[in-house]
Amino acid sequence: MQNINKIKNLINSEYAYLMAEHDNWSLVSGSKNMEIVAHALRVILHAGDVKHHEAEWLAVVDCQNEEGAWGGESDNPKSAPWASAFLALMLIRANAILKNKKITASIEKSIDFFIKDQKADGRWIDPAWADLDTTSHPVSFFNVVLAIGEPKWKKKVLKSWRAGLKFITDNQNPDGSWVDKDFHPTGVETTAHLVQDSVIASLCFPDRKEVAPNQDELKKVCAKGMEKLISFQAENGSYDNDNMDHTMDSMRSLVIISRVLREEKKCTPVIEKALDWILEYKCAQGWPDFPGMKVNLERTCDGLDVLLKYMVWREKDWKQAVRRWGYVTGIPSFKGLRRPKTKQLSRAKV
Amino acid sequence: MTRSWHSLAKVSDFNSAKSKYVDLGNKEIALFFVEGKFHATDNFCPHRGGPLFRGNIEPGPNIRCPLHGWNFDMKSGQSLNMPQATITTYPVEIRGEEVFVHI
Ligand code: FES
Repeated sequence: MQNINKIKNLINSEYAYLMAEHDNWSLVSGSKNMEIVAHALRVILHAGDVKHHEAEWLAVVDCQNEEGAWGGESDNPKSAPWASAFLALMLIRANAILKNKKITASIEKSIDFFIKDQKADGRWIDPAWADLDTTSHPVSFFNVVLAIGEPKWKKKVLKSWRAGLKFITDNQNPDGSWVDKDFHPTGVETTAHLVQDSVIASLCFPDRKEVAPNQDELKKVCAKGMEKLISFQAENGSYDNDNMDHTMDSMRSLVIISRVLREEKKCTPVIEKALDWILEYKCAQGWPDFPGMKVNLERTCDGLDVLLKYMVWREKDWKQAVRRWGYVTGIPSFKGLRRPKTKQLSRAKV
Repeated sequence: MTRSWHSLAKVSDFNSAKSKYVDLGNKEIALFFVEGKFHATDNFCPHRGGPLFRGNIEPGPNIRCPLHGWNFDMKSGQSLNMPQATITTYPVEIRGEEVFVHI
């Protein structure tokens, strides 16, 4: 079991590193890939530092296109559903703190975009991603709309959310995995994504029995996914041939599953082993995609998110872990953040 | 830019490995040894920069990016599941014990 003070110190030093890399992920300092922006915003959100970075969220709003979506790159407005759902998710979660009217309007626009963009069978499509993976992102956004959104939004998204969730649960394999033969034949990453981003939330809402009356079925889906994720782990603690991204995804997925299903006993050794491996192959600052490779900013954001989620996983109250995904009300925070001195941020034209 | 042949590996490097990564400073190359033949491609996946040398080698031979599964024909560089995506591939020659790549 990790020493919590060591993890806290690590979060602080990695957070300082991320802030020092500000110009490489921030829209405020110029055009960016929107996935890297979303990854960095998630760290700021989970570190409890949103108020000091409002300009970053407003810069995201400034890049929203006419349809209510975002492009994969800030300077290319062609709607990219996968990245758009991640950004919309960051907006709604941060706006629980910021309560900014511009952000509220932007969230509403993106809700309309996703309702319109959904296909008849419940899926969403993004040519750069497998359909299952793409679908899990708007479902995840709508999970948070249902958990913390305005009542009128909840009404609006419910039908679409149910159809998206059904598409996902209908496509689970009997062994508990989700596999996409074109993009993810091993199924590790897809399984990790789909449980934590989509299905598990339906067991967490206070009004879950009205929103998703098939609770028992959904519980089984998550339990099977959990068993499969446990079985995917390699002897050394990693996933998918020492793949840092997929190990981080799988570990985080087990963090939320274990607390919601009260399966801590079964998952603890798996989570701890995965984290040991993640920390063993960390670079002096940041994380690489694979051991021995150069540091990658997106993976570094994931690594910080892993640590921030591990911290709450160790807390007594299971809801603290769920809060890290936004599936219950309340503000995620990290007690003990030493906020590094950053330059005064102002909004630039993006 | 003029191309030239570079010795990037020894044949014996592939006794136990099927792929190798070579950092040339301004370019990263992935080398593969599949069914008795060598192939060289860019290491950088055009999607989000995933390291192709760590990808799964599949029949074709194709290389599947380890991050999000874009799949590329090692000979032509054409992606099979993302029609508009390609990677650069490079001619390979074996000279004695050395693997030369035309870059
Ligand atoms: S980085 Fe290669 S498929 Fe995403």
